[in-house]
Amino acid sequence: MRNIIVTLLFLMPVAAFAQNGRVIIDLPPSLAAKAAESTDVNLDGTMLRLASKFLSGDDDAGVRDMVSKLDGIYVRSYEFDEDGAYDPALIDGVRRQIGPEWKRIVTVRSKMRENTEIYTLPRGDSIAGLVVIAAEPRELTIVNIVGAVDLDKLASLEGNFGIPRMSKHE
Amino acid sequence: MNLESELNVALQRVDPPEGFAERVMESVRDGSRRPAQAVRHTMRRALAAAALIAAMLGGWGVHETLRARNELLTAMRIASHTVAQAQKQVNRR
Repeated sequence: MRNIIVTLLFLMPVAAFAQNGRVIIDLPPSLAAKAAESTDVNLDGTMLRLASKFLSGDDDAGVRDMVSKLDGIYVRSYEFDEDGAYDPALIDGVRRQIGPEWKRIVTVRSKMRENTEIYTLPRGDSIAGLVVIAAEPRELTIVNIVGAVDLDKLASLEGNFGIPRMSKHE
Repeated sequence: MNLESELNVALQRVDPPEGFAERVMESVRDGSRRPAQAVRHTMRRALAAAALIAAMLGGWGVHETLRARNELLTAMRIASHTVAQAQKQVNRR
């Protein structure tokens, strides 16, 4: 009984986070060590606003506009040299945080290629949070965006960023 | 010797040694100058230290902000690519 109470106490803050659109992407550091390339981004609202002040030019205008409505962006992305380098069960920790108030709007299942799930947290007419899980045999990407996300606008930004991919050596 | 005579001797006027007045005045002038110089030196040192700290903090702040900007663009690139790919996959079916 005591163990159950302790577990519930630990899970309560996580559940509270998920209702605000935030999920904790808790993946082991050994995954990054195993990956050929890895990206780990944690930007809360304060850092987002600070970073967006350094966005300039027409290319960044779309990002700046979108970021002004966000409260956080959290990304984990890994690329591996061989198939099956990660345990798919690792993703379950993220899925468990996605409660009934979240809506799964996209599920793409493929044996050979990418499996993608997109979850949104509806808040009135807009979205208060987004979780994207993209799992390929050699690639795993988990994205959590907190705040009012426009999915079409986000997708339309693809290819507008000419910055190099961050590697685990950085 | 009575008391009156003893007092006259004890309280007899004595001239100061030569240069005493000049030495006193010089000492007074030095005394009033030294604290001001010391304050100016301390202030200069404090300003130099403050400028150095501000430059270091400013450099650190700019570095952190640029790093955050690059992270933001990387995050948006990954997020937009992943969502766009999912949309394409859904549209293909």
